[in-house]
Amino acid sequence: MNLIVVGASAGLGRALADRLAQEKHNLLLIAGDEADLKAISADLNLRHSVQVEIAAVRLQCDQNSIEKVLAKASALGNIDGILFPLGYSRTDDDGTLGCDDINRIVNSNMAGIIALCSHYLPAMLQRGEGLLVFFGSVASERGRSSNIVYAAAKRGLQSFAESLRHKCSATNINVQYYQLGYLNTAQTFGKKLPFPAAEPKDAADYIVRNLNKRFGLEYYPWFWRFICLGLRYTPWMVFKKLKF
Amino acid sequence: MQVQPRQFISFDGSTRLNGFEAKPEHYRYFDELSNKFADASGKRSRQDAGAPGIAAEHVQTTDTCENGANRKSDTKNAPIDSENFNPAVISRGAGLSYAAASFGEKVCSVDHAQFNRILNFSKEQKLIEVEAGISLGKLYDFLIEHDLFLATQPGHPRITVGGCIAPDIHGKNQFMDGTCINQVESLKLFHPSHGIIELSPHSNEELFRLTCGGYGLTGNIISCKLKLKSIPSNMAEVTLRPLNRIEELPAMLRASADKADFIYSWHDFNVRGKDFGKGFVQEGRFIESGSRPAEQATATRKKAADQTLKAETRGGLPFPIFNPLSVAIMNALYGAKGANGSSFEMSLFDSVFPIQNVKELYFKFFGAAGFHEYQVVIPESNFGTYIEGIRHALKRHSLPITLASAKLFSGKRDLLRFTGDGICFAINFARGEEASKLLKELDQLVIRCDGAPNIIKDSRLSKEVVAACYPEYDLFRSQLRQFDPKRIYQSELAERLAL
Ligand SMILES: Cc1cc2nc3c(=O)[nH]c(=O)nc-3n(C[C@H](O)[C@H](O)[C@H](O)COP(=O)(O)OP(=O)(O)OC[C@H]3O[C@@H](n4cnc5c(N)ncnc54)[C@H](O)[C@@H]3O)c2cc1C
Ligand SMILES: NC(=O)c1ccc[n+]([C@@H]2O[C@H](COP(=O)([O-])OP(=O)(O)OC[C@H]3O[C@@H](n4cnc5c(N)ncnc54)[C@H](OP(=O)(O)O)[C@@H]3O)[C@@H](O)[C@H]2O)c1
Repeated sequence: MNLIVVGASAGLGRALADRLAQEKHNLLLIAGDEADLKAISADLNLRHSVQVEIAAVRLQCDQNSIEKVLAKASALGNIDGILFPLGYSRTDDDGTLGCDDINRIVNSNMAGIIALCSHYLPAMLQRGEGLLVFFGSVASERGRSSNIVYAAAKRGLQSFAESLRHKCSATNINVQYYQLGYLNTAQTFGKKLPFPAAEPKDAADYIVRNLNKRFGLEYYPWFWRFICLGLRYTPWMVFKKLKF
Repeated sequence: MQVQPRQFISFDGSTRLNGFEAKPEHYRYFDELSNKFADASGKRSRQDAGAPGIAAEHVQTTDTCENGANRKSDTKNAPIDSENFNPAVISRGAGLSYAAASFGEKVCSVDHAQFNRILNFSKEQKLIEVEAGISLGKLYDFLIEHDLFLATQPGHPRITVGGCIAPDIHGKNQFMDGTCINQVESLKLFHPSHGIIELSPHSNEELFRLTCGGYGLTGNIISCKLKLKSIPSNMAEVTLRPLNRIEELPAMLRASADKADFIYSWHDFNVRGKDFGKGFVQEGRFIESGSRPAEQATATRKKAADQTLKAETRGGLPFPIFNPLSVAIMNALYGAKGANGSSFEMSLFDSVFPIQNVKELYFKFFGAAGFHEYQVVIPESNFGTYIEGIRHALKRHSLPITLASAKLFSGKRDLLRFTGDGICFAINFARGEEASKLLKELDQLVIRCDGAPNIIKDSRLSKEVVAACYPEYDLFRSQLRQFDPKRIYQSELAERLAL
């Protein structure tokens, strides 16, 4: 398949790019740092002999950034699917951020993703097939006093994915949404975590193995399904006192 | 750049220090490092080569930004106490050095694990360009598909290419292949005051020689071009030749070294009398193999290699398994393997990286207290004196010797490079009071024998011993200061040896 991976220079995205190249998919890799993308594409191309294109683009909801992606995507031909393991969070996301920071969080976790999807959806609908894989966060299960904008954006993304799935239910367009728990990446580096962080490599393995499965929402690692269930049903009187 | 406090431990179990860890995922990390060290007059990027040194007091707060973008300082959430943040840095590969070479008290260790990509490859020219954080295992997996391989490699697949270049390690036939520097065509070095510099034997030669064997103290090696060697298949034929008297070792090694692809010896130092040091010489050749075994065990192997042999988990057993009785039995059993001489085939991977999987238990059996490796290179003419010296020292300090092994070396000892003409001889034993006394005697013995101890293998070597054994110790120090007057790159090893 010809696949786009947005957020491919680090963490889960990089692990996914490696696994997908191993499965002989041709790839367009997107992230902000060009030097990094070049190194990854050389590595994947040499080790797995697949076509790897790159676009150094900070995805956001504006035509300019979408055009930059399209310019590079044309080298691959028809795009069969897009995976969106990009994300951006910050430790001071406590409800007091300025516009630039809010825009970056909303763009990287929702708006940019919606914009790129919206561009490719008509062609996928016409062909009646395609693959769209989104990545949310357990942080968005229930709003807390930290990761405020991030959680809001991820919840928006989840709603968008749900709607797409509904819209595409009569087609072969597979819309997957992973609700992710902690991963051992730059996002969790050095943080004290109440639960173990999964290796991005293992997550990528799981995701690539399940690319053909049709499900709406899946928790990874699996145990988060139960933690989130507990969180959702924790009475407000208790929840408001939790500090995490 | 993300920086976190972390406690580091050396692989031999001797050193535990509080440093910092930086885990960069992106190339722009190097820009950020430059900026962190920029002087008060403003920001400087990595391209500004030749800019003046750093001003430590200008390193302010830790930037905790996940994706490395510019952002306001976030002192409230800063994961480290910036007051105590010492701006000294050092590269870290797999952290498998026995000595504390990739960390230091309050030093920021830059983890190269994510810089592990293959950048360029030419089968015709037998050249590969890789980032320095790549593991030897990953490189092996790629090269074997092209019937190529790195001539000089240490014995574990998790060890990184940067970790091989910086201490200029040796492989299993140093006599023929030399040390790691011989297989480096060129490399890219990052230093905040100099930007990114390309070094090779033809450009910036002095800095090239200082960096290959510079223990990470000249900067971060970002990437390098390596020369490769053709191999006929992924199999090797191994011959074990019994050695009854250790005095015969140099002649035996010399007789075969120029015909072998790898050659080393094993000795039993736990028997007394005339059998002291008997053992065998293990000689290997890469062979054509009709039935080339699949490398499909790679995935399982990689997974196992990822999980094993870490400085943090080596000392998991609270008590040692090794004692005089268990070591005597282990040596007797191992020695019997080569007593009558034999020949067999084995996979190239297992012969290049002999210490994996179950064999790694060897390191665990020393327990939490850890172990010593005393590895020296001794001129052949003094080999007999050296071995006699060890034999006498062991009479005074009775210790089970868990491993004794030798290789034939050739080369000129320059700067702090572990090389020279003669025999490279290593012994292992458990850490303890008696061991410390033995080591003091061995230090004097090696000086008397005109030899040199291996700096990367010994976590307690003193600067006096190193200065006495390495004639260019002062030259190394002065060249380092000339390149980096502020001495930004630091480690426990550097501090102990006053580098
Ligand atoms: C099982 C085993 C077998 C071994 N066999 C041999 C052998 O046969 N021959 C031999 O000579 N040695 C051998 N060694 C020693 C080993 O090769 C060295 O200690 C090597 O440096 C370990 O590499 P590392 O990736 O763990 O590096 P680390 O321990 O992380 O670092 C070692 C040094 O290299 C520097 N460094 C690492 N990466 C970079 C970089 N990118 N840029 C600049 N500096 C860098 C560090 O600052 C430090 O000074 C062996 C060790 C083990 C554990
Ligand atoms: N790590 C966790 O514990 C965790 C937990 C729950 C959910 N998640 C979610 O899981 C996904 C993967 O997380 P991760 O930890 O692997 O992230 P990561 O290590 O921070 O990597 C994020 C990747 O996305 C890229 N990126 C960020 N913003 C971008 C933009 N606007 N346009 C293009 N690329 C962009 C980054 O590259 P550049 O910086 O170069 O742009 C990087 O390649 C994300 O959706 C994250 O929100 C993570």
